[in-house]
Amino acid sequence: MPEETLIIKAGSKQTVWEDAPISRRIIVESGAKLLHYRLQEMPLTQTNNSETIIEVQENAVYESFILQTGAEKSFLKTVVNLVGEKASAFIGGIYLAAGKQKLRLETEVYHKAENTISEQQVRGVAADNAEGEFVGLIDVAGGVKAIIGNQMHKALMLSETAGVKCVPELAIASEDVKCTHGSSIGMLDENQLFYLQSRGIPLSQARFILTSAFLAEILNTITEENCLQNFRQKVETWLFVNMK
Amino acid sequence: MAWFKITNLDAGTGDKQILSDFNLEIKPGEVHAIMGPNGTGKSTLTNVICGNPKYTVSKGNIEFKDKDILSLPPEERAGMGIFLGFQNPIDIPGVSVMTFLKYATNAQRAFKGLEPLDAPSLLKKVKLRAQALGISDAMLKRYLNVGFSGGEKKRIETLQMTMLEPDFAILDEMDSGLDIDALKVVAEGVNVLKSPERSFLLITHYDRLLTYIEPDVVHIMVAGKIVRSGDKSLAKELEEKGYAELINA
Repeated sequence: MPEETLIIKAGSKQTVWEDAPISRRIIVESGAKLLHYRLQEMPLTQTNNSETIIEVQENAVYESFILQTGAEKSFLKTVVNLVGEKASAFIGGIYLAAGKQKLRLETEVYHKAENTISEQQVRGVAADNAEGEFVGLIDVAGGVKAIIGNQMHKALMLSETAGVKCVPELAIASEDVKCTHGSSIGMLDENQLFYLQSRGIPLSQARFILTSAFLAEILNTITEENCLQNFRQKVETWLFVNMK
Repeated sequence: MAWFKITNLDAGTGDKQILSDFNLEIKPGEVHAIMGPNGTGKSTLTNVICGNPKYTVSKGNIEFKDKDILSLPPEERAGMGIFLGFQNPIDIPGVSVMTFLKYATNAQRAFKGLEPLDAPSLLKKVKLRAQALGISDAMLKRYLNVGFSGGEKKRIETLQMTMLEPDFAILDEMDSGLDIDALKVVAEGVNVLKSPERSFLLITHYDRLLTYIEPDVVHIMVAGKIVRSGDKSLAKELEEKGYAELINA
C-alpha cells in the first residue's frame, strides 16, 4: 500500500510530473484540479510494481496521462475514487513494449457519488516478442445517480510474435448510469499501408506514419503543452528505435 | 520494351483468377478508358498495376518506361511515375490531408534525388491546387478521408494527383458519387495535366466522364480481358446498346 500522500488543496490547480513510478496516495480536495503526468522508462534490467490511489472530492478534477516504455516487467496501477458530487477523472495512457518486455497498465475507477464522470483512454503498441496488457474497471456504487463512465483500449501489434491482452470490466449497481467500454487489438491495416505506398512512401516509413498517427490521437488529449511535447518526443524516439 | 505495356497477364487474389490473358498498350500522351460490367476485373487491374500485395500475378508482364515493374514494390512504381486514384479511398485517421501531402510529395522528390520541399513552398503549391479544386483550408487540416463525402474524397484524390504530377495516372471510377459540378472540377484537374509525356487510364461505367475527358481509345473489358476496343464513339455506342449487345455483336 502506498504510504506517501500528496494533497491538492481545495480550489487550487496543480501540475505534477513524475519521471519515475511512485506508489502514493493523492487527495484532490473540493474544487481543485490536478494535472498528473507520469513517465515509466526504467532500464530493461529492472522491474516495477507500483500503485497510485487518488481520491477526487466534490467538484474536483483529476486529469492524468501515463507513458510506460521501460523495465523488463512493469505493473502500473491507478485507482481513482470519485467520492464527491460532480467529481471527474480522465485517465489517459500509452504503453510501448518491445523485445521481451511485459508491460501492464491497470486502472480502477470507483463512482461513489452522484453526477460523476470518468474517462479511460489507453493505447498500446507491442513489437517483437513483447506483451502488453490493459486491465480496466469501472465500478458504480448502488444508489448513485447521473453517472457517466467510458473506457476504450486500442492496441497495435507490430509483429506476429507480440501479444496484447485486454481485460475490461464493468461493475454497476445503479440504474442511472451511462457506461461504455471497448477494446480493439490488431495489426497495421494493409489497405492503409498500400495507400501510403501507392504515393511513393516506403513501407517502413508508412508503418511509422500509421503507428505514430494511432498514438497521436490520444497524445492530443494532454492539455499541458510542455508535458505534451515531452511525451511526443519520447513516443517518436521509441518508434524511431523500434520500427527500423 | 515499351512505355506502358501489359502482356498476357493472368492475375487474381487467393485462389481466384480474375485477369485472364490480359493485354494492353498505352503510349505517352494517350488517354485510354476501360469500361465493363461489375466484377469483370477493372479494379483488380488497377491494383495489380500499382503492386497491391493482396493480388498475385501468375503469368505475363507489365512494363513501364522500358522496365519490368512486376518485381517492384508499390512505392517504387509510384516513384517511377504511376499514380492510382482509388475508387474507394481509405480513411487515414491521425494524419491530416496537409501532412499526408507533405509525406507523399517529399517521398516522390526523394526518388528523383531532390531535397524535401520547404514548408512555405509546399503550402503555396498545395493551396493553389486546392483552391482550383474547391477544397477549403479547413479540409486540408482534417484527417485524410475521415468523414469525407464521396465527392470530397475524389477531390482529394485529384489534389494528390495534381501535386504529385505522375507520368501515368490511373483513375478508378473517379466519377462515381460526383454531381455535375464536382465532376467538372475533377475533370478539369485531369485536363490541365494532359501533355504529350503524360498518359491516363480512366476506369468508368459511364459515358458521362468521357464527355469531359476525351479519350483516344475506349476498351470494353469482360471476364478479365479486353474484348473490344475503339475510339471515343464506342463509349456512346455502349451507353445506347449496353454490354450484352455490344459484346455479342
